[in-house]
Amino acid sequence: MEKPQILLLTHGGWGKALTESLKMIMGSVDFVHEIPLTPELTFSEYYALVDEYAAGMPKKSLIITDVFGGTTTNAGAKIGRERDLKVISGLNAPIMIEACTQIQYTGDLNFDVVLQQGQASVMDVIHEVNQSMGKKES
Amino acid sequence: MAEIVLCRIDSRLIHGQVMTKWVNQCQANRIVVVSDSLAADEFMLEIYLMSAPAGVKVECLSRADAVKNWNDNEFLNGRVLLLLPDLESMKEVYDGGIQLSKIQVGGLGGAPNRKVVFQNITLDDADVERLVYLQEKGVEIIFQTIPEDVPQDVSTILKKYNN
Repeated sequence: MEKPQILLLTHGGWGKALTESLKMIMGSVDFVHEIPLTPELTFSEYYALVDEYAAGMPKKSLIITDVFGGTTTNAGAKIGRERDLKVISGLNAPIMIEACTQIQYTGDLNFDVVLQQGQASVMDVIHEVNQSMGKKES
Repeated sequence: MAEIVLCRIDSRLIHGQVMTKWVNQCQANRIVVVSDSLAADEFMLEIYLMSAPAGVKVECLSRADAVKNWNDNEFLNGRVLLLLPDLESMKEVYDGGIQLSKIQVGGLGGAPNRKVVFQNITLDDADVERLVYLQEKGVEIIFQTIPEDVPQDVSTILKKYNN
């Protein structure tokens, strides 16, 4: 099976900066590609750019967008549905680390786990730590 | 009768700038999108509906339905942000009876033969004709992408286009 790819759709292309920084932790992530939404692009133009790239992506590849309600997600959702690709909105570092680690170590992508890790990655730190300490005491 | 707190022409329709900036800026609690293609696309429409911020109702009408609802006084209540994808639909609904006194051009996308006039807003000859038409009807037309921009009036923009 061809290794899944990750396609990032972000406003202005901040996913590229995120990916560059993550290379410090992850090493090479040549299976990550980004298509930035720049201000001059209309929905249709952006859709066409993303769709052209998505057409060549292997099965089980993943689209990750930054903001639900933004053009990145609007375009990603339409293409994901048409091309049977999963789409996650709410790009962050933990999602990327999970997805990239999976691809690097297994050559595959477990979508449910990526989604779950992403959803669990935003937390009230002090509260969580206090709760965890409290559990040990009781 | 609804109050149109903002009428915006934006080819991206509902997107980041509109949701994070304009909805708050104009204190809208309803967004009415006028788009034939979106009204006919159940999946995309659902995404737009889901992306509405808390407390804001989103609906989408075809051009014909928008005009009909307007003329039947069925534009319900609320503080409405009216959103249209292009000047062609604006002129059509204006001629149909949605005669607003002020419209904002916030984003008109690129295509060959279109000229950039302000930030990411482009016009072609047909759009210029529509702007002049609406201007002559007495509509105040401004060009502004986000609230932080200084709004440009249509005369300035048309001069730029003709240069």
